[in-house]
Amino acid sequence: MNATASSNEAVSTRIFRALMAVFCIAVLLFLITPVIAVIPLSFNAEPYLTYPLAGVSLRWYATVFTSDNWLHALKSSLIVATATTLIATPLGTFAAFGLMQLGSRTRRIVTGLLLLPLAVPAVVVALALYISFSRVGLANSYAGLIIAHTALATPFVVVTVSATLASFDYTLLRAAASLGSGPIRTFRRVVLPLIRPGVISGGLFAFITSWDDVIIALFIAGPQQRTLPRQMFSGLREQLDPSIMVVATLMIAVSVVLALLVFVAKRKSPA
Amino acid sequence: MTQAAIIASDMPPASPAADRSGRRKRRNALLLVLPLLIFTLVSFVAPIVIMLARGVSEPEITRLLPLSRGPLATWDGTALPSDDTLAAVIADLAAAQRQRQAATIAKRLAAIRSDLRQPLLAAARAAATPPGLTPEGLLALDTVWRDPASWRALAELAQPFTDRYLLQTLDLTRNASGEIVSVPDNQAIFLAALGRTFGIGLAVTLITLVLGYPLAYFICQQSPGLQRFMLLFVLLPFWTSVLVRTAAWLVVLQTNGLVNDTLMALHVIGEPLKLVYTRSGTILGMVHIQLPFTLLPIYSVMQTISPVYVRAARSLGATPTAAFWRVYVPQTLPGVAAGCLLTFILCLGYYITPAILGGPADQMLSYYVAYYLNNEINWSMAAAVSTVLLVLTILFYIAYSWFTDPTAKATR
Repeated sequence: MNATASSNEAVSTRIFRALMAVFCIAVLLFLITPVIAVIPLSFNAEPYLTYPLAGVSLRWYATVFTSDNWLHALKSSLIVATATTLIATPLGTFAAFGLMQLGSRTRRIVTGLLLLPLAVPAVVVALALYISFSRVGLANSYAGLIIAHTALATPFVVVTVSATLASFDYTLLRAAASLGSGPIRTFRRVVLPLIRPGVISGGLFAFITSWDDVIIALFIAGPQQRTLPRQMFSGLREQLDPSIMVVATLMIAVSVVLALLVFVAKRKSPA
Repeated sequence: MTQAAIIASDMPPASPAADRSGRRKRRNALLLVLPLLIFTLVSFVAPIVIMLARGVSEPEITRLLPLSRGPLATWDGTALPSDDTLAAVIADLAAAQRQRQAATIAKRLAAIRSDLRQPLLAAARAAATPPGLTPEGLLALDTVWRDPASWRALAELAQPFTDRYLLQTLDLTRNASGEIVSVPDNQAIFLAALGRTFGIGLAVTLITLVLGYPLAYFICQQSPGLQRFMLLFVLLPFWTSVLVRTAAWLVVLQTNGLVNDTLMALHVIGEPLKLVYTRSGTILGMVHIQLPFTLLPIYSVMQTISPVYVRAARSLGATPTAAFWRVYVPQTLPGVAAGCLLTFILCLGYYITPAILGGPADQMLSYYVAYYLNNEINWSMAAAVSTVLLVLTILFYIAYSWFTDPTAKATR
């Protein structure tokens, strides 16, 4: 009697485990399928976005790479994301390094302030910047877009570099100072090599923040500064054809490459 | 605590020289933070403050009424304004008409009292046409100008600060005698939008929890290699842009999309379901984007939970179900709270996904910010809606930091 009860329990446990596994695999597939599904559609020979594919061709890639609109958008995106990365990375890195050396109370307050852009909804930031920028002539300009993206990107740099600095050995600073090295030289020769993985990850985060942004671009970019996501957003609402899937595929590829680079940078981290 | 802080606290403030070097170190540290601090203040904090101010003011209207602003503000609001005040109004309207801005004033005035648009345009035209308009002429132009209530509306418009946009975001307005009342039903849209924003946010949060909690638990049970492989499925979409994922759902959910085709092939449905431009499409897309945000904090808490507690409960006679619910689950609650609050907060600000996957009846608060900026060209109203969104987000972030900050927990 006891034996049957426990074997019943074992059977029901096994059934439950199996159902659980099926459920979880289904959720994993739910996560990955839509992202994967767009890729083959970009190679469709016909102007449809349906399976099965009518044939495989590169015609939509040719369309995108000969279209003035898309090429201009690609150029805008690269300009803005590169400039954002180049400005946000040093700003965030120096700030993170300075923050670590502040008293704990000052540090908490200042960090909170610096991370504020992470907490505010994108639409709120976009409207605030649009209203302010149009007063000083920065709306509809590359400079305005780069400043806006930099404001959103620096918190990621601060967080990433701070995480690397948490394991930094501060006696090294005193050692360098006692050997006669000035603060700038110490930073370049001692600090930077040790926190480089964090700085690289931070820079990659800054790049992806700018590269993926739609809402800020939607509000404050003029027709001249249409970025790739901005152009894609209009395309999605106007006419949906496989060239949008080409751009989506390219954007997925960029995300994957950047994610891999972050992963590699972390692997190389001494911590 | 960082090593530097420990070292610093170990060192007694012995000599004045050491004290001076400590101060210099702190000054250097501040110098490193300063560039970003200034940048954040100028290009983020100041714009937010300007936007908040914009939600309670309308500088372009106030600027168009330079002469009448003062007299209208001091007018007692009962009898008709004095001839001097009327003359000032006439001068402002004539100037506005010449700058082709009379329509701007008329439009905003109509938002306070809709029947005043045409009379104001007529008055501005008459004021700018030689030989101009006398105060008596203005009063004779239309019966509305002999009603003090019309002048109260204009006086309200001329004020430098106003609460009417913030009131409007709560479907409230001021009646003729200045009391706060509900707007007519056909103009009430914001409480519904607010409710919808909360409703969609709540639905997405709950669904991500129901999908994410078992999945996080399942991943934790696997070998480290398999865990990494499964996390790849979570992180790859996480790294892909929101727009790309929304576009993917648009394609997958369309009439002849993957979902409909599969369900048709399996004979689950007889004809394609309408999934795009619907509430369910919006929620589905948002669940997909938010699932990693809910799952990852839960997963990281689960990884720190030692199996000994459940084992102890089992050895004391608890059934597996009881051990799970009464011993395991309570230990994961900090992760659940952090993940769910984060997802809920992020949901409040959604714009892209409802704009692409939803219909007109599925738009959330952010949509109205864009709508008032681009379609109505009413920056103050856009700023007021934005203010509501900002305040809500900050309130929930305070709750979030209370759940996730270890120092807050210690005092609880």
